Amino acid sequence: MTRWDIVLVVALLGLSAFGVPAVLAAAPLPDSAPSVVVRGPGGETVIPLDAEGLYHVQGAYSEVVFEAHAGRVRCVRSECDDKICVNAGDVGPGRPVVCAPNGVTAVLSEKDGSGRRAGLDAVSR
Amino acid sequence: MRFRADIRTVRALAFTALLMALAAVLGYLEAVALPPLLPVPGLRIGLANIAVLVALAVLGSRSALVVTLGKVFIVGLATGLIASPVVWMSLAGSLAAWYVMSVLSRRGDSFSVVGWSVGGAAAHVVAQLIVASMLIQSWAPLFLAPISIASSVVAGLAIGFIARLLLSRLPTTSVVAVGF
Repeated sequence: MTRWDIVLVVALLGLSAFGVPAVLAAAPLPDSAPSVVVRGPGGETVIPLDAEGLYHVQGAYSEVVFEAHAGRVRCVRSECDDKICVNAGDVGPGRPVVCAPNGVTAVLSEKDGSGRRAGLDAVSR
Repeated sequence: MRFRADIRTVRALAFTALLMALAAVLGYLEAVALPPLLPVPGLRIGLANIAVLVALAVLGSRSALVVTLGKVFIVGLATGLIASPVVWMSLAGSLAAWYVMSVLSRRGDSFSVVGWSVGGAAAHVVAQLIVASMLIQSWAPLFLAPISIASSVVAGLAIGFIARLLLSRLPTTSVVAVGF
């Protein structure tokens, strides 16, 4: 490896560790109580973190099913090929679940009614 | 009527076709066989990029572009995703990777094949995340950028070292770097 190869690797790892999270921490989030917001071609579904049950969201090609259980929300069924959404696990801070073929995203909304982030701050995330 | 062609051009064409076939096989293998074995959902190693790197090093950027586009088209057909939005993510990622690798390869000896590979891998995931965001009209995929870029660096290093090893064993005397 050349010196510039090493510089490139370090720069990308630095960007990954500090630069991108700093920008994303400043990204706007919808105003709502802590919940998971599922957006799809058919509209938006808000799943409160204290909810229990299955939520069916119509995607571009098939239905995507989310399960809310014990304060966690995860995708449990989708007809897409890769099943990345199903294997992604729980929706968490900075960890959305995305089903790109169906155009469905599930993100954790962390803003309270005043527009500030509820719970953990950007640094501790 | 006799067909006459420069032997170097014919060799470059044949070698490009060979690399395109290699890229298609590796890309299909990665799309179908590897996902269950990987620890992170959606993680791609970028095996097909080995062929693109070899094309770039031996034949030049235009041949590498041909290998790149051929790989996207053939793997899209083979996996049945050619008409789905996923192919746009694949195309954007592959073209971004090709562009960055081509730029780095023109920097003389500043960057080695390993550096080209790392830069291309990072460009690939960033372009894919941007296109995914555009397709679903949400910023959510960009939240995956930190882990995606970090894993692309690791994958890029691995693929770069494999490509370097392959290039060191390649009988380059049989292939003239003419491109086409």
